[in-house]
Amino acid sequence: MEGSRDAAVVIMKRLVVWLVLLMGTVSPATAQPLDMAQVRQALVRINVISQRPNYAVPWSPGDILSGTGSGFLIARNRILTNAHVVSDARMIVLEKDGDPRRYEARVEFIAHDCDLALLAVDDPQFFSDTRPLRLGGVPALNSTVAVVGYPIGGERLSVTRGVVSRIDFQTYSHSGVDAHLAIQIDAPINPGNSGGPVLQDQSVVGVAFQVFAAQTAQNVGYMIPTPVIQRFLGDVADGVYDRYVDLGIYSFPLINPVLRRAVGLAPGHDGVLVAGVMRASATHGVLQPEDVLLAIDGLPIFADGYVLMDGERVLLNEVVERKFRGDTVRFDILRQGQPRRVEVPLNNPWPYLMQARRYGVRPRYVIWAGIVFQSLGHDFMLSAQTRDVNLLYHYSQFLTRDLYLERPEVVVIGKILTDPANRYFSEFRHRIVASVDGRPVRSLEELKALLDAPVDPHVIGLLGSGRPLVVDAREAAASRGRMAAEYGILEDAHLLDGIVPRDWAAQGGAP
Amino acid sequence: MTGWFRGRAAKALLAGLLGVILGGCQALLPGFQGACGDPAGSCLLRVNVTRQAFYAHRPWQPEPTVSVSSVGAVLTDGRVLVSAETVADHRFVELEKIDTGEKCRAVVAAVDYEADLALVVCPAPGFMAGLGGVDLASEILPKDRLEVMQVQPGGRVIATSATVETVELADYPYGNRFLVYRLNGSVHDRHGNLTLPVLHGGRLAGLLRPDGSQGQTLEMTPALLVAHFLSDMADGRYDGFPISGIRTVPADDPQLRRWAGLPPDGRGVLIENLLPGSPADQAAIRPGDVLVAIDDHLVDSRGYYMDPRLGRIEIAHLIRCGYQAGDAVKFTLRRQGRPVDVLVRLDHLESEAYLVPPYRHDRPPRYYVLNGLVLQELSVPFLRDFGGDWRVNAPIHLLHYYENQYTLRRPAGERIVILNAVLPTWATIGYEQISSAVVERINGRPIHRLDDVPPALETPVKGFHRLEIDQPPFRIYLDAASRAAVDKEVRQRYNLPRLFHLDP
Repeated sequence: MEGSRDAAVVIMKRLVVWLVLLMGTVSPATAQPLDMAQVRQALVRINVISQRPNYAVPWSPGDILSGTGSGFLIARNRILTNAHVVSDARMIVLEKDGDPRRYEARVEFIAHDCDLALLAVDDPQFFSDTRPLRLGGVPALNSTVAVVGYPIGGERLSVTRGVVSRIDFQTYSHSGVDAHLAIQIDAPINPGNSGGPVLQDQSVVGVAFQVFAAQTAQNVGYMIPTPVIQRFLGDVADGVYDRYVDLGIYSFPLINPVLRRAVGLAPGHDGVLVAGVMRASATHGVLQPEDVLLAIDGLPIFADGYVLMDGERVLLNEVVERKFRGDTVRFDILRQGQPRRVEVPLNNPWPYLMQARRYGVRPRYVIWAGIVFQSLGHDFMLSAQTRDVNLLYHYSQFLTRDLYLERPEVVVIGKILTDPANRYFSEFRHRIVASVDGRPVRSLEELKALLDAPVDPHVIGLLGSGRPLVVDAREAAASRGRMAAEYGILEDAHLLDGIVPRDWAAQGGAP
Repeated sequence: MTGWFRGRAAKALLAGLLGVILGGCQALLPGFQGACGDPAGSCLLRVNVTRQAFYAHRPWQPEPTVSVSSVGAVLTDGRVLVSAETVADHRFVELEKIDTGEKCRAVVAAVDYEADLALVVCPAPGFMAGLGGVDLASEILPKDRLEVMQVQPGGRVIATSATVETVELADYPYGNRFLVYRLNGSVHDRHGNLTLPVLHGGRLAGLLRPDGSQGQTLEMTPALLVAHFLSDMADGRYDGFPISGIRTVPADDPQLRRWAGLPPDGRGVLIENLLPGSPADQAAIRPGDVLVAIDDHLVDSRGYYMDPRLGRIEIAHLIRCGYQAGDAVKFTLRRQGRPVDVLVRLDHLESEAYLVPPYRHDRPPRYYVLNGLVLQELSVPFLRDFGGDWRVNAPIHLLHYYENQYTLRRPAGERIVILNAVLPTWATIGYEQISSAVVERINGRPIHRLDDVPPALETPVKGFHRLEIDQPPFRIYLDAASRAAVDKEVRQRYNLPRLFHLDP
């Protein structure tokens, strides 16, 4: 997918020779010594008690975890840190270096798609002797940077140094599906460094956030660079975080000479192919497969999908990365050999979220007759640990094969809580629910409405099976009390926190 | 290129063509005895095979040769019974006398890769003289003591006794379920032989299976299967073990039974789905029907029937071994509570009849190289080439076809055509990362099998060949005018013996 998502990036990565981007402000390669006194005035250690939902027990409050991270003041009462440090937080306590007091903080804005959050503190005493750090630009390749934070839970701050090794698009592992610009450095980054500033010449050039976790590489740390931070601050300026926007198209480099000729591109001309357009994308109906994208917002597009922006070669999605919800981009295109200019609206195609790690939400479920119906998604799959081909197919091909058109929410039997009503159902765990009483099921809401209807018996059809689950009304009613008494289930459903937009669900599919 | 150079799977031992009869050898042996007497070795021959298959993902590329052997049992007509796995993908087969080492270049007279049985014959007159032939043991039951015949390299025969513990259905190669006898006993050294004959009172009780034997438990392909195998070919034509094509789930749930209008008598198994084009499908049996009886055999709610000799056993045994292909069998059903009788003409389904053929032996894989685009048909050998853990490692959209053959209503004989990889040349520059893509259409014409490719290429559109695939870039264009030149270049550059192999 063109833009900021994993699937897209995989495609782009496979097809484009990775070039190092050098963009924004270029700082001198020789760094000044760090004024630690000033850094101390901005740095905080963040202690977090969080509660992660347990998708194997979706009705439970979740597991309570504690963790630490780092953060820093960027303005009066604005503390920047990583989203993953404060996700699902129930209690956030800040410490300052050399100050024995503790301060409670709250999350003002959190952006899971770029792993950034802003915290605020209500206690005015916190601000005595504090001074925010200044945001800088993009450091030069091979220049030295300093990483400051509280790694491995230490009580005193730590400083490590490294050089900027590479600047390119990288998957942000907090959501697992978003990719933005990231800077690779060779300074050690350890748990607890997360959210801490990376400095050069007394300016913040990034937020330390993740490491390359594989045996093939060592000392590969990543920081979120200032263009991503600035976009986050710009997005929340109106008081709401709207998330990144995306084109929702599959692009393909126009390298092959026959392909270039077939789509009407004259020799010597450049551009990329629109291979496909996602139905859930705002681009749908504006761009068409086999359109050739010639220029974006007036910037000519090379055959490999790059544009020249501020004097540097960057992927064309960098143009979209800087936009906000409601913005548009202008494309010069070639359609069946004819040049055209189109204005493309931008949205955030929701089906991506199915494969994203989610935070600040509770698992969706319906429990009926001891059957736990759940919504297919990343966190469910992680807890289910299944190799079931049909589940994996619906999970991994949800976007690429537009499976969301038929099933915006894939309803899965996550568990069978053994009960007289469902004694013979145990082998049907992890099956996909196709219908109830002959009516198709496209969401947990629809499922619940059908099961609540006075029908006896209810017949639950499973995808690809001639063997339905049949439950007599009397059995289903009797199981209700047993669920509370025997499994401690007080709520028989949680239907908030869905990813399918209301207008999509209401119109029964594609808008 | 990840799809291309990945390691070959632990080679599926097996793949193959059913029922090729290369010429029977029906004459009785001069020393006909009917039983394997003393010395016991007189009815045993070593079967030595050099085999060579092809890499499923580089279909023109033969694998290294491998030599295997088994101990075969000489039947009373002089044919030698051995497991099909032994002769799969054979290039050279010989029979060797266990005492003298005398050898005869042999031919495979019949093979059934599903039941894992094969017959090998020696065409040289006189070689079989002095050997005894063995009859099939008529009835082997639990508690019977059998003798597993091991042969040491020097020719010494060692009979190890083993006791029949259970008789049940078990997994045979390629997703087949057949009768297996589990024996209590241990064979400490097979001396490199894949399968060994098992005797009972001098008669053949079965073949010891190469796999499934763990610790003190040995698995035996019983004489019952051998008898079906032999009687099938008695008319000079081998049809194979029949199937009905139903997949069942237990109908023991009282709520399900009430809804389906079934009495609470514990009878009838639910048909979950049907293989498209199978005998049951042709007889208009439907998913959700309840199978109550097959001919006069009552079927219980878990899919078992009472066999007069073996006791309670899965109906798959009745269907596969109780009948021959072509037999018309009465299926008594309950459909929405009402009794319905259906006549099902059981038939063998060849590997090629499946959407994803389970095996292919003794013949090179089918492929078509078009300007360096390697087109193939999805098959289990193809999936297995994704590695030992292929059920996890193979691309999920391909596994999806494999897993859902019963529910994807594809016409019989239809295949999934895959653009497996691209052999890079200048003509395909920019396409080299495409792999495992399903080819849906070429020049607007649907592609249901590899054979659809050449005719579709006869009608280029506006000077291009346009391939529609199921992943980005979703279409590939080739220049029609330069196709022959590019094909020639691909062939020379990559040293391909041939650009396509479309033989069935």
